[in-house]
Amino acid sequence: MNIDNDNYRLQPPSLTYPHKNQLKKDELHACEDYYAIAWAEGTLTSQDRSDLQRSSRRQLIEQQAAIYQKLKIKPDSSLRYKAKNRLYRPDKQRLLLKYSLTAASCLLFMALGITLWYRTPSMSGQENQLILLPPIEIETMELPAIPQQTPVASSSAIPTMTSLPSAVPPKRIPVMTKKELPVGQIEATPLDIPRNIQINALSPGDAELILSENAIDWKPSKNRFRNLPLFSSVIQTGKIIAERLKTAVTNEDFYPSHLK
Amino acid sequence: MIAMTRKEYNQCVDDFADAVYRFILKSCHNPALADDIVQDSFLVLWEHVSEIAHAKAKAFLFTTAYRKLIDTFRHEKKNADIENIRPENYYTETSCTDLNEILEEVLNKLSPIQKTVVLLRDYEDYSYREIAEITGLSETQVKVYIFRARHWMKSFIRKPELIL
Repeated sequence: MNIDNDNYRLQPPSLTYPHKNQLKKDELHACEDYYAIAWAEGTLTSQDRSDLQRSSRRQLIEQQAAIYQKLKIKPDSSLRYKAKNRLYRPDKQRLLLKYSLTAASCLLFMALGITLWYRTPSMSGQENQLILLPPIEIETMELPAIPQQTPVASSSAIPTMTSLPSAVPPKRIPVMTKKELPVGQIEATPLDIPRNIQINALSPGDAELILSENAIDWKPSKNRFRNLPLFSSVIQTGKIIAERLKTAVTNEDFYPSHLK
Repeated sequence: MIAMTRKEYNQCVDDFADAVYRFILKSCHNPALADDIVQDSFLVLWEHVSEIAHAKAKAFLFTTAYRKLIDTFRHEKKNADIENIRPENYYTETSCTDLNEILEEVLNKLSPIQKTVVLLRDYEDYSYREIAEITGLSETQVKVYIFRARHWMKSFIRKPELIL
C-alpha cells in the first residue's frame, strides 16, 4: 500500500487578528509622556488603560500624571471686562425714553441760553438808549419881603447905604425848560421884594437827580463801578453843579447890589 | 432653530464677556486690542442673534474672537504662518514668585496656536471637539498641540517637583 504524505499536510488558517488597529500607535502616542499627559487630561482610552495595567512603569507614569495635572493653568478671576455696559442692548422703550430726555434737556439749555443772552444788557447799546427824564412840575412859592433897612449914622467905617429900589409889582418869571436854561448863566432873583418865584421841581419819584443835557451825552467810563448808570449820573450831576457854583460865585452879578 | 432673545443676549454678556476678554488678553497681552475684539465679537453675535441659539452662543463668541485675533496678527504681519511661529518672539523676562506666574511666563513662550488651545482647554475646560470647532483644526491636531505644549512646559521648568 502506497500512502501519499502530502495529502495530510495541514492547511494554514485564514483567521485574522480583529484588534490589529488598536495595537497601532498614532502620532499622539509618539508624544513623550503620552500616557501621563492623557492620564492628567482624562483622555485615556480603554486600550490605553489596559496597556497601563500591564506596564511595569505604571507607578512612574502615575507620578508624572500628577505633575502634569498641577501644571494646568488656572484662569485669573481678577481679570474682568469693565466695559460691559457698552455691550448691553436696552429695549426700544428705554431707548426712546433716553433719547427723548436727551433732546428735551438740550432744548431746555438752548432756550435758557438764548433767554439769558437777550436779557443781558450790552454796554455798547447805552449810547443809543433813551433816558427818560421825570416830568417837571411847576410850583409857585411865595417869598416874604425883606423890610427896608433904616439908614445908619454916618461913620467913616460904615459904608453909606444907598436907597433901596422901590418895590415893583411881582411878575411871573418865565419858565425855562431844561434845554432853554443856559449852563452857567443862572439869573439871580432880587431878595428885597416879595415875589412869587416859580421853582421848577422834579415830581416826586424814585430818581431825585438833576440830569442835564450833558448827562444824556455822557458816555460810560472804563471804571466798572462807574459804568453803572445810576452812579455815573450822580457823579456827573455833581460835577456840573460844582462847575455852575464855581462860575456863579466868580461872577459879580451873582451877588445883590447891596453886597457888592 | 430657536433664536436668541434680547434678554438672552444680555445674559450672554454677563456670562461670557469676562471669559472672552481673559482669553484674548492672555493671547495678545494688549488690553486695547482685547477690548476691541470683545466689542466686535458681541456686535457680530447681536447681528446674528436671530440665527444663533442661546446654547451655542459661547462657542460662537470664542470662535469669532479667535478669528478676529488671528486676523489682527496676520494683518500686523507678526505671524506669516501662525503654526510655525518662533516662541522666543513672545518671550518676556519677568521675575515670578509663584506657580501661576511661572506657568504664565512659560505659556508666553509657546507658539500662538499652542497657546490658544491650552488656554481654551485650561481656562474654559472645552473638549477637544469644541476646541477643534473654534480654531478650525481637526480634533487630532488639537490633541497633538496640547500634548506637545504640556510636555514642552514641563521640560522648560526642568524640575517642576521643586516648584509644586
